[in-house]
Amino acid sequence: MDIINVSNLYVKYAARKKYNMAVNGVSLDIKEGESAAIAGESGCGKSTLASALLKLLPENAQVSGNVMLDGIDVFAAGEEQLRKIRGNTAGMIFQDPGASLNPLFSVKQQIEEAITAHFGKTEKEELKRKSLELLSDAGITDAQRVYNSYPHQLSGGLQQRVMAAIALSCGPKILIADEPTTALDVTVQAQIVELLKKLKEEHKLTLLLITHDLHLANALASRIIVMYAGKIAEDGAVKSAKTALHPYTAALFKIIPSLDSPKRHFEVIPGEVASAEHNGNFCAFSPRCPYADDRCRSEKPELKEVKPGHFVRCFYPGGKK
Amino acid sequence: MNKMMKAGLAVVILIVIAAVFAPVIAPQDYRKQDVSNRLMPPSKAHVMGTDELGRDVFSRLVRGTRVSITVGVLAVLISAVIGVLLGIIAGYFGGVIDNIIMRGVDIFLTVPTLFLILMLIVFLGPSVFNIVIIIGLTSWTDIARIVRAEVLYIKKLPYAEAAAVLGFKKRRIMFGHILPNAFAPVLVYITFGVSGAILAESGLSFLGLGVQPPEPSWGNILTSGKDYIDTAWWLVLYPGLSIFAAVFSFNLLGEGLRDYLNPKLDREG
Repeated sequence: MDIINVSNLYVKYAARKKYNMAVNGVSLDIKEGESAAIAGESGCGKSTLASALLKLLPENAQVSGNVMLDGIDVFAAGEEQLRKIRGNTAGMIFQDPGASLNPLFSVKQQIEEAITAHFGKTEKEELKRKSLELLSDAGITDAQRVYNSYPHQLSGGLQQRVMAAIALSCGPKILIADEPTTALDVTVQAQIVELLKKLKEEHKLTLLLITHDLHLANALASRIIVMYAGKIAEDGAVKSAKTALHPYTAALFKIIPSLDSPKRHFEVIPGEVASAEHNGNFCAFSPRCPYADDRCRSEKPELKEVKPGHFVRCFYPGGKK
Repeated sequence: MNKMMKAGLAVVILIVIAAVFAPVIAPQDYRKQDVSNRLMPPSKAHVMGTDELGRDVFSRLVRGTRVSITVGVLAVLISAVIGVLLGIIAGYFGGVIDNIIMRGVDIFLTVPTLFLILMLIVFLGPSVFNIVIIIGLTSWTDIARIVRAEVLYIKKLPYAEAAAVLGFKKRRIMFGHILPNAFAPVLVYITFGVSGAILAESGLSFLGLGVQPPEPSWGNILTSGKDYIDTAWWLVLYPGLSIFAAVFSFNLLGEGLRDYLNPKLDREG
C-alpha cells in the first residue's frame, strides 16, 4: 500500500508581480516500509516538496495537485487533522539540530511536551519512563544526563539524536529527514546514518530522506528520486554513475570526490541549475548535458519506465544513442 | 550586570520597599495637620520639613511612592498584556490580520499621547484607577511593535517550525515556544515603561488631573510646593528629587537589562 501519494504537485512562490515555480508537476508513490531519498542540487525543489508533504509551506506559496499521507488528503485536512498528520503520521528531523531545539527549554520539557501534545495528560513517572526509553532508543547511552540537559549543553550528534527521539515520540509511520547530517561532522554523520537505519527497522518506519549527497542517499535508501528543475529526472534503484540512466544523475555521482581516485581536481557539472519555471519545448537539462542533441533542444522528454520500477526523463537513457 | 545597573537596581529596590512598607517607614501620619508648625524647614522632628498645612513632607513622600509605583507597575502591565497579545497575533498570523493591527497602531501613534490622556481624564474624571487604565491603554503600541518584530524573526527559526511539525497547537507554539524567546526585549521595555508611567502620573498630578489631594503623590506635592518655592525650597526639592531618582533608576535598570540580556555583548563590561 502506498503510504505517501503525491499526484501532479505544483508549488510556486509569489514574488513581486510574478511567481517562482519550485515544484513543477511531481507525481510520486512511496510504499509503506520503503526507504526513499529525494536528491538534487540546491534549488531543484526537493525541500519544497518535503515541506508540501506536511503542508508546511510559507504563506506566499501556491499549491495545486494532491498529497495523500496514509490515506489522508493533506491539503484538504483541517487544523485538527493536520495536527494529527504532523507528529502521528509523519515525524521530521531537520538539517541543523542545534537550531531545531528550543534554546529555552530542557530536553525533558521538549520531549515530554511532544508526548503530551498527542497522548494527552500523562502521569509524571510514565512520562519520564517513556522519554528515557525514547532517548536510549535513539542511541543515547547516558539518557538520564541528556534528559536533564539544555540543548546548548549537547553536541551536534546528541542534539540530532534528541531530535530523532522527539520526532518518534508520537509514533509516526513516516520519518522525513531533511538533510539530517549536513550540519554535522563526518564521523557523527556515519553514526546518524546508522541510527536512522536502526530506527527504521525497529519502528517499521517509511523513511524519506531529502539530500544533495548521493552517497548518503545510497547508504540509507534503496530508491533514489533525483529531481531537476522542479521535476523528477530519475526514479529507481540507482547505486552508482554506471547504473544511473539519466545523465544528470550520473553527473551527480561523478562530482563526489573519492578517496581512491587519482584525480586531484573536483568534477563539476557545467552551467547553472535550470529554474523550474522553464516550460519550453526542450529538456531542462539539455544546456548542461554532454549527450544533448537537436531532439533534446526541441522536444520535451516525459518520465518513462525504462526498466521495471526505474523511471527516467530522458530520450537517451544511459547516454546511449 | 554592570555598575550602573546595580546602582539602578538598588534604588529601585529601595523605592519598592518604601512603597510596600509606607505606613511602617513614615514617621508620622501623612494626613496629620499642624498649622502652628507650617512651612518648617527640615529639622530632626521633620527630616524634610513641613508643608503649608504643617504635614510632614517625608511621610507624604513615602505615601506618594506607593501611588507612583502602583500606577507605574499596573499601567505598564496593562500595556504589556495588550501589546504582547496584539504583537504576537500580528507577527504570527501575518497577512491581513497583521495589516489591520499594525495600521491600527499607526493610527494610534498619530494622536499625541499626552493630549489623549488629558482628554480621557477630563471625560472619566481623575482617580488612581482611571490613571492606571488610561496610561495602560495609551502606551501599548511600542510593545506591540517590538513583539511583532521579534515574532516575525523567531517564527522562521527551525525550532518554531519543528514545533509545527510535531503538530502542536498554534496557541501553544505562539505562547509556549515563540513568546518566551521574544521576552527579553519586552522585559527591557517594561522597565523603561515603568519610568515613563511614573513620569506621566507625576505630570498629571502636577496639572491637578491625577491623584487628588489630600491623597499625596509626588506630582501634587510638587504642585502645592510651587506656590512657596521662594520661601520653602524643601517642598519642591524633595518630590522633584524623588521623581528624578525613580525615573533615572528605572532607566538605568532598563538599560542594564538590555545589555545583560543581549547574548552578543560581553557580560563583564
